[in-house]
Amino acid sequence: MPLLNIHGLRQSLVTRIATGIGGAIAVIVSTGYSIVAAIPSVEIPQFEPKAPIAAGAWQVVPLHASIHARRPDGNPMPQGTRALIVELDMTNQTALSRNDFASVLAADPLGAEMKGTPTYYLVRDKTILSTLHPNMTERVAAMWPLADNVAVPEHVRLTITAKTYKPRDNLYGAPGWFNAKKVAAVTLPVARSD
Amino acid sequence: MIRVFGYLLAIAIAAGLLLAMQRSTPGYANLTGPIPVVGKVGDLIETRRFDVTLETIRFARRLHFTRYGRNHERDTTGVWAVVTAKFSARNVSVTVNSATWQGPTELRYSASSRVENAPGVLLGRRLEPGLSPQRGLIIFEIPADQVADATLLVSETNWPRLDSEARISLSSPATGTALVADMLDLNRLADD
Amino acid sequence: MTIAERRWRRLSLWGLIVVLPLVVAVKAYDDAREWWQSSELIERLVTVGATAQLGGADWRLADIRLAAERSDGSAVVLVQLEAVVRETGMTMRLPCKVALRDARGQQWLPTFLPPAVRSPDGKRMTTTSCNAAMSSKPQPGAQLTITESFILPRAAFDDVTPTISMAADRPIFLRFLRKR
Repeated sequence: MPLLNIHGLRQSLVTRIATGIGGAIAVIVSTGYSIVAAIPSVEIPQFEPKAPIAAGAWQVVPLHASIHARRPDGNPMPQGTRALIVELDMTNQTALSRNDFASVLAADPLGAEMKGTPTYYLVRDKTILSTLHPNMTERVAAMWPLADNVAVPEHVRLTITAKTYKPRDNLYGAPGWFNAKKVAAVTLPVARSD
Repeated sequence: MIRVFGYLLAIAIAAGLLLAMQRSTPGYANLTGPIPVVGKVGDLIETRRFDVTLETIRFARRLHFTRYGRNHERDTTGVWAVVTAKFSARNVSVTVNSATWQGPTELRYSASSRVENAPGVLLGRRLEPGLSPQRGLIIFEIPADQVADATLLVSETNWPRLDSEARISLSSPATGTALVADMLDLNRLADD
Repeated sequence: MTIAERRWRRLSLWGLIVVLPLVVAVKAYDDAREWWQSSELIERLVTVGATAQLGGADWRLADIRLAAERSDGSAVVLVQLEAVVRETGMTMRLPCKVALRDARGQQWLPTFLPPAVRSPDGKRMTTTSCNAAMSSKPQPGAQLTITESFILPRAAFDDVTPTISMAADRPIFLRFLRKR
C-alpha cells in the first residue's frame, strides 16, 4: 500500500486546477465589467437646432423655443405663470402607434425654471397630444410653466433620450424598446412673443 | 474510428433538432396572444363575445364634424380612412375598445384619437346582448402608402391575451382603387 | 439486466402513470383555483321575498322594475337590493357583480347610473351601486340599499332574474326569483 496515492492525488489536483480556472475567469470578467462601467461617460454629442436627431424609436427635429402668455391650445396660462414652449417635429419610427413620446425630451439641467415634465400638444389641432403614428411626422409643442417672478432663461438646454430595439426581451420574449440613453443635446435660444 | 464518427454524427443531429425546436417555438407573447378570427369586408365575424361586420370604407384628406356645438376640421399628412361597421354583443354586455389598421408592410395604426369625440364613433360603446347591432364609424389616420392590402384588427382590448381578435382583410375590389375625397362630413355619415 | 433491475425498471415505468398527472395537478393548482374563484358556478336560489346570506351580508331583492322604454326596443331596468351587513371587512370582498340573467344564459351587466335619479313615480332617489356601497366600509348591522340599472331588450325583461356574487365567495352566487 503506497503512502501517498500518487494517481489519486494527481487526479484531484487536475480537477481543482480546472475548477479554479473557471472561477478565475468569472472573477476577471466581472472585474472587467465593473472597470468599464466606472469609466466616466462620453460627452453627449451637441446638435444644432433644426438638425434631425435619430433617437431610436423616434426621429426628432427641435425647432425653436419661445415664451407665450397662452398655452399652445389657446387657453390662457394660470395667473402668475407664463408658458415656455419648445416646438419640435417628431416622427414615430416604429411599427406601432405610440403614446410614450414624453420620454424623449428632457430639460437639462432640471432647474427651478423648468420644473417637472412638460405637457405635449399637437400643433395642427391645438389639442393635447395623445398618439403618434408610424411614419407620420407631426409638429409637437412641449410646454413648461414658468413662474412670473423667475427670470426668462436666455437659452434652453435640452437632451434627447433614445432606447434601443430588442426583438425578444428577457422576460416575455416579446419585442420592445429598452435601455434609455441620452444621445443628443440641443441648445435653443429662447425668443419672446406675445 | 467509425464509432467516434458515429457518436459525433448523433450529437450533431441531436443538436440540430434541439436548435430547430428552439427557433421554431413562438415567443411567450405569441403563445399567450390573440386568437385570430379571419374574415373579409361584408362577412359577419363571430368572436368570443362580440360580432362585427364591416360595411364600407371611405377615404378623405380632411374630416369635418360638429361636437358640443363647435365645428372641427381635421387634416392630415396622409389620408383619413373612415370605416363603417356594425358591432353586436353575443351573450354578455361588452365594450369593444380596440381597432387597428395593419398596412401591407405590417405597420399598425391605432384608431385615431383626434376624432374620438366625433359623432358616430363606434369604439367604446356599450353593447348589450339581444339589442340590434350598433352601427358606427371607426376612423384611422394613415399614410397614403398604407391604403392598399390592409387588414383591420378588432378586439375588446388593445393587447388581447388568449382572447379573440377579428382580422378583417380589406383588399377587396371595393377598396382596391381607393377614391380619396377632399372632405368628408362625419355629421352626415353618422346620421345614416 | 438482472431480475432486480428489470423489476425496478418496470416499477418506474408504471410509476410514471402516477407521477405525471400529479405534476400536472401541482402545476395547475393555482391557476385552477383562480379560475374557480372567478367564475359563478354554484347557484343558490332565493325564493320570492326571502333573504339569503352571501359574503358576510344578508341579501334580499327589494324591487325590480322597468324604468323606461325606448323606441329601439330596449328598456332601462332598475334593480334594488337590500343588504344587512353581518361581518366586518366587507371591502375585502369586492368587487361585487350584479347581473341580470335569462334562461338562455345571456347576461346583462350594470350600466352607469348617476347618483341621483328620478324614479318612474316621479320621486327623486339617491342611488348607490354595489361596489360603492361596499367601499364605504359598512359596519355590522348597517342596512344598505343598492340600486343598479341595466339596459336590455324589452322582451327579455319578463324572464330575467337578478344575480349577485362577491369576489371572495365565488363560485357561489345568489339568484333571486321574482314575483310573477
